[in-house]
Amino acid sequence: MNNISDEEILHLFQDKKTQSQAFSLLVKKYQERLYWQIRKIVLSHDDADDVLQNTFVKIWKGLLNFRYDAKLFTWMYRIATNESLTFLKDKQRRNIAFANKDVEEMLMANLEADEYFDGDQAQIEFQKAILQLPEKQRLVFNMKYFDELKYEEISEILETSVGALKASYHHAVKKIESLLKLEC
Amino acid sequence: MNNLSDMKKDQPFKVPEDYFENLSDRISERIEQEENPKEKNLVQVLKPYMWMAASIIGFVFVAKLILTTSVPTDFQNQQITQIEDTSTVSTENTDSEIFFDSMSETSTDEIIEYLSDYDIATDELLANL
Repeated sequence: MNNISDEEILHLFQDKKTQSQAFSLLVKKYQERLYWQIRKIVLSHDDADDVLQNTFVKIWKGLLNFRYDAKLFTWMYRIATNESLTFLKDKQRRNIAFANKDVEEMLMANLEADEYFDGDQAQIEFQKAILQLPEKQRLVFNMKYFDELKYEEISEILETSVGALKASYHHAVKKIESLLKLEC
Repeated sequence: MNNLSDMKKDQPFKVPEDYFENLSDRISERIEQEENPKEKNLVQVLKPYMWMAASIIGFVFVAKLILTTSVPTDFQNQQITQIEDTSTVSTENTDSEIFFDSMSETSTDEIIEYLSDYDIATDELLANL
């Protein structure tokens, strides 16, 4: 069922009678990719679940107005990224314990408390190093290193030039390597 | 471990069992709720206003009860009588004709005696004319 093309899904979505079915197909096709994109930003499973649902509600509301000037997946990826960042800022604002701390400290605490994280010590150190990157570099690093997206795709999602993304990724890699050396 | 090539790319994150199998249904339910929020019936809509009206009625009732029980009836009647007397006197006092009549009954000797008792100088009397 996941082989259905985006164009077919969008065509089905235009018709009220097949709208729900089309959206269900869309969710099944992209749920995992979007989930992992969100999870890498918010880290905890419960938060990722909340953000993923919010993301699909936004997609539902905007899908009728979607235009083909961007790829469907790129557009959804951008919504997921924005929803994740907004969620983290709201969560930090609401959480008194982290009111005067960085988002990264809150994320690390969430990660350590998450029952759905079973990384070994090296992976915990790796996540800590990623969290020390500035927000934009962290996003670029996750998309390039883990998701292996092309710079052109990342450029569409983050609305940043390819040149700037290459520089960001280069700095991110250097910083992580230097942090991991310090940890050893 | 000195560089990224030594790191495993596998994510150390897990998801609950069957999470992705049920996700589509849960998202459909969520969208259904957003699209068709349950309509509130009339009682639910009017509930806050009904509470407000009940509070005001209750407050008025309690206030009336306190006022009627805390002030004894005899005292109230006494107060009313006093008020009526005072109003009568003040009406009489403002009647200039009666005032001068009562003054005319006082003899000149009595006035002189009163003034001498209180040692009021003639200049003070003239100054207050």
